[in-house]
Amino acid sequence: MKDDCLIRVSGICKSFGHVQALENIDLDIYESEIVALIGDNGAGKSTFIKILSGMYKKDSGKIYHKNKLVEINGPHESSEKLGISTVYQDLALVEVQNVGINIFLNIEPTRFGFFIKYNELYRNAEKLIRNLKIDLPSVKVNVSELSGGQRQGVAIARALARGKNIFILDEPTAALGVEQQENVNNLILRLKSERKTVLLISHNLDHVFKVSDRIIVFRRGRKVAERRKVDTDKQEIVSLITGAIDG
Amino acid sequence: MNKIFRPLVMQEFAILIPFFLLLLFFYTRNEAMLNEITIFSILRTIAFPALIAMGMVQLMIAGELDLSTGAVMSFSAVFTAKLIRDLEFAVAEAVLIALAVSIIFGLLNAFLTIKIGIFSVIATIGTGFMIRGGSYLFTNGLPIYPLPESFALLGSLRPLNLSFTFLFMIALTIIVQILLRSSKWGTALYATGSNLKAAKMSGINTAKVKTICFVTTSFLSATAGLLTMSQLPGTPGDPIIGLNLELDILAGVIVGGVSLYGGRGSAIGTLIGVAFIQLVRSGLVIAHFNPYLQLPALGILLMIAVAWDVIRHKQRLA
Repeated sequence: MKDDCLIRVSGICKSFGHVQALENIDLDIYESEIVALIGDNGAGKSTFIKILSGMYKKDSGKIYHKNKLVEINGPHESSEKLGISTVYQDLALVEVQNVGINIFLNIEPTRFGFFIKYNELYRNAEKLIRNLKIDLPSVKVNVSELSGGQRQGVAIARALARGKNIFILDEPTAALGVEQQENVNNLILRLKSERKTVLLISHNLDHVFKVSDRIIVFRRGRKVAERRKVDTDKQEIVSLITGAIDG
Repeated sequence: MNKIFRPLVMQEFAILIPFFLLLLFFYTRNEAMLNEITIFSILRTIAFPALIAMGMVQLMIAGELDLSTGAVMSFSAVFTAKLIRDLEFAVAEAVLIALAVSIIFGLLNAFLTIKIGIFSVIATIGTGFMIRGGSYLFTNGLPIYPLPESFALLGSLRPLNLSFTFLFMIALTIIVQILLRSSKWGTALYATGSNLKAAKMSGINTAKVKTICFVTTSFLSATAGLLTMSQLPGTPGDPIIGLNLELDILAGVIVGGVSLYGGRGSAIGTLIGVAFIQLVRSGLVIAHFNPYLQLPALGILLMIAVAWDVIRHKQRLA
């Protein structure tokens, strides 16, 4: 295993009843790279990231973090053992709370471990938002008042606030307008510039080709191809997704 | 202090306007509405449901509710009375045992709702029947007395001519308000009720949050039952204590701005809502209306509050 290999998965299998959702998945994820995981619906992408993020338990196979074998028994362990923070498609933000509280939910700065230090919380939230260059009116605005792109930014800021180094982003540009998609692209590239690693699920090939370093194609529960972005093009990737060509 | 009270201004202001308008209306019908005796009497009446409502508001913010509160109130009263009169327990011991039993009831509600997955409204109606039935079984439907005069030590205190229970309730309201707005407990509650997935993903133990809320509500219900018996020396342990009170509490909490969808509400709004319900009950009588108008009036008030909640929820989703 290369020195900068953060996560290696080997022989991962998962089935749901008679449906083989994943079959012998092997892949490596390296530090400070953006890996796009693409494939048609039902290809197994979501199942794979749910195994990495601890939502599902794998049936068989091994997961290594920095050369150490790990077992993931829940989202909390995924976060602790793999340093993974997952941003799901629905973003999982608390609509009735403001940006600052959402970012630091359950990790708020406190007095006596109980009473929230709001000044410090909002100051830290503003710093995070500024570093990520997310355009927000204020960190005290309720999440319900934000646009889709802004909410995506808040979800990423929340993941960043937890000090993790690996981000799984599930369809981050889904249902976003052109300008907002561009903002999300810039956000993802900024994560890379901060030496964070991103595993990205997306159907949007424009977005994939703008931000990713490597593209992994899943089809019917298997990894069928792996390409560096510079060595491939959209046509080849589409052919790999549909099975017109083999990887 | 701003963080605790500023968000309240819009929400509670909306409830206070109809509250004072109604009070004014009743006053025009009978000036006795605003005399000292009436006001203190209403304040004493508010104390018991408001005390329980301070548990209920947290539970409903977390997305659940409890309709067994009146039953727990009754059971704690008769069970304590039985322990003292028939089994010769000391007052303090009997009270502690009754409170411990209320915690078990709260854990039962939590188990049925969280572990088994029964909707809390159904689960707690079921436990309410069971617990209220237990009260009647204990007593054969008859009040238990006499109780020692020492039992009335706390509840019969009248500092500033207000009942101990009322002052205790006010103190609890302030504490709950501070907790809701300024503590990790508050943010965990609002997150659990508003978006369970987001709360879990942030590492909040939502099952633990809801369990604490169920237990707190049961505990406060038992406390209210014991304080009811403690109001006057000689008050018996009566199985009808708290009968139908859970509906007044629920109505008060909803009128006070707590959302049935979870994630919204405040302690002060709840207090105003409970006061509103008691104002309607007492005001209709004092203002010489037919007392049977109480139920329809409360029903209409509840429907308006729920409709408003539903409309707000739909607007948020849109």
